[in-house]
Amino acid sequence: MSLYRFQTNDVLVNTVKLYPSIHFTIYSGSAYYNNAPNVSGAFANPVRLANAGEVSLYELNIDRSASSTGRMIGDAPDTGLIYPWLVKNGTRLGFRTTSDSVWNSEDYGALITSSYPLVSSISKEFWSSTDPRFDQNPVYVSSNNTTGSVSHILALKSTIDSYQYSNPSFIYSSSARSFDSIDLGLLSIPTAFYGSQISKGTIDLRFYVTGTLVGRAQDTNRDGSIYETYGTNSGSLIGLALYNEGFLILTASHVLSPIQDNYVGGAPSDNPKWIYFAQSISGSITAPSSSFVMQMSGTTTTQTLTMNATAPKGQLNQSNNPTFTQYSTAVFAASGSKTYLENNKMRIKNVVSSSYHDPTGSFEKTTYISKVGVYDKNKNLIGIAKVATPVRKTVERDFTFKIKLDL
Amino acid sequence: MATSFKTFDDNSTAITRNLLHEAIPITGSIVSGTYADLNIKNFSHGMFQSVYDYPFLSSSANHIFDLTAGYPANSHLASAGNTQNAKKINIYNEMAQVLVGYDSAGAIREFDEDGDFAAVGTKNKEAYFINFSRLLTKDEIKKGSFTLELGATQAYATPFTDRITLKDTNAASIYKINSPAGEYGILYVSNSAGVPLDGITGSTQQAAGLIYYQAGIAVVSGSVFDSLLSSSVQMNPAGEGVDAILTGSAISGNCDALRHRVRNISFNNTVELNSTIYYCRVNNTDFNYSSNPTYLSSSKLVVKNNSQDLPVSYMTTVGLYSPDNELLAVAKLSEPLKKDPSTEFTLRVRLDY
Repeated sequence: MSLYRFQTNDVLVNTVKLYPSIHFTIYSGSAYYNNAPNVSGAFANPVRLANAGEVSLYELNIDRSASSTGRMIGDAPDTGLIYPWLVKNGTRLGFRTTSDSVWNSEDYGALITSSYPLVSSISKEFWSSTDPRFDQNPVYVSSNNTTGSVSHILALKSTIDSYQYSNPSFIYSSSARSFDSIDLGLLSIPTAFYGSQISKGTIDLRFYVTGTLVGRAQDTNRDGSIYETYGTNSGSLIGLALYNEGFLILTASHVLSPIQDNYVGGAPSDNPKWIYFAQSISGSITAPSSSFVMQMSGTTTTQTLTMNATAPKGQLNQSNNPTFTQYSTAVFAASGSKTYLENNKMRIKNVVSSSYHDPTGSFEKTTYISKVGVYDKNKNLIGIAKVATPVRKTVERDFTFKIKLDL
Repeated sequence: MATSFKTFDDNSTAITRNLLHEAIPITGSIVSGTYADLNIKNFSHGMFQSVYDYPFLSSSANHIFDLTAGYPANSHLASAGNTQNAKKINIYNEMAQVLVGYDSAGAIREFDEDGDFAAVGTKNKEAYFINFSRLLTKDEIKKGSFTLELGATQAYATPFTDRITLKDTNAASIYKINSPAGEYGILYVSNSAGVPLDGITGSTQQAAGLIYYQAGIAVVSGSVFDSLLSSSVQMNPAGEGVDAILTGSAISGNCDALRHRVRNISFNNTVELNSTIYYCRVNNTDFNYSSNPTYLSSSKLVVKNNSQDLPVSYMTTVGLYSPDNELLAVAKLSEPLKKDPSTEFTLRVRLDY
């Protein structure tokens, strides 16, 4: 084994930018992510305890169901499921799923538990033109604090307006229209699906009624505006995309098909419109005649360490592998109580290809490189790269092995 | 963007360490039976067996532990005629090298029943090894929480009528540190259902294995199926005992036999969460002004209604800077905090790593 030091240009770090595909099919109260079906297991349905449209953090609790076993696992009850817990102490550490009031009401030393799986999923909200965007009757508590809330669309007001420099359509409220007073749909896509940014120009929304495509919309200009590319009003602006934040704001209310469906709970049936896109994500609204497909690409960046390990000409032609020498060659020439003399006449096995059983052709020093070890500056082995098949190395050949490591 | 900096004094930072745990139950039906062994992976090298929590061809499956078995070369079971004799010796030696280490003469130590190498104690020579996945053990298994329940009925077909439990009883305060692989505890055997044990009634009367907390490896003595019981159990459908399968069956066959008798495994894992807490003290005269471009309009503060009002600002973000004024971290408030000269705040910023 020989050690070589990487030279300045042999090691480089670069960033690989990837665009993972995101495909959602939405129908009758369910969403399906990248065409994954709901699979039932022997004990749990669905087997991941997460629906097909959800991603599961850690993906623990596969095919498990909660049941009271009556047992204890150390200090924690055995519920049949894997779950995290900690002890309430002075560090004030708790889980996000535990509210402040619950945390405060526990005694110090008490177990605070959470649960798995923690899931992430897309969601759709709809506001009619008359629905308030904020709590109109907040309760006054103190000078700095009132109860009440604003809607998600109103919370995005500053964000929407901040993109006005690149596209004039990004304005929350103008003389032409206000997001406070029009029918509006908001699709929220968590970063777990798209990474750092929705890739511009990849958004593709398709609206099906009774299995027939009635509308298609894309961000063809890559500027956040989503235009209808197929449908009754092709070419019109139907909404806005916040690429960095993962929101689609749907504003178009023109009719896409004469076939009506029930898109809003408690309201009469209505014609298909872009504001109703993906309304049936939640179980309460089924809209049985309508189905939706949403496609886009995310953006992820992965830092990659590339190392070029060179096997130079005239080197790495010796192996300590026992099969490198001829069978029955003695390892030592002589040994005694005070002597160990290695055999300096060990014969190297000639492996040069020949037409004959035992080659008598010209000998050539040959090794087969099967692994490249990567060592740190203290010569600790920190990584091993294996080649798919051993590489034949002769005296006149040189190789450079390109080793990549995702960071 | 920050417009003024305050330097932390000695009383403004605190370092804390917190332990986060997960309760891990593994029922025996997952290990043996439910999936008709589609969640069991055997390898051509035959040296260990991998167990998954779901059929391993599914992308949902998680690797939960590996099983293997072995004995040392000086075991009374060792014989060149045994099935996979060399591999069983190699497995035992490999595990012993890593978990027990070497003695002063350079020889590999054997697993000691009570972990006391100074005394000539009983050695666990014939052992089963359960190597838990890092996914389950995380930083380490919580001391005192490990339980392994095994079926101890003699008949192979009905293994769980009588049961025994291996626990690291009292290990929360009494554990061993003389292993190169970290801390370990003694697994004591006790009756769980029925009275299958031979004269063992105390909870810490008889050691029958070891549990290595950081390595996540349980070492189970083969005697739990044999000499510790009133009646030795049948480890396979042919009715063979534990010695017979350790000599006559491959390692995979031994793993199958162990899985058949696993009723339940449970433990808590531990993740050590280190945090630094920065107390950002905002005094009454601090941060009442902003350089935000929207703060001023026509050279007047937009957040003031008349000129007699106190200066006021809204804090949204805390930036943590290095001594060289490089921005290292940003903490965001859930909602802007109103600040004027009549108020003081201490913002508690926690940085986990």
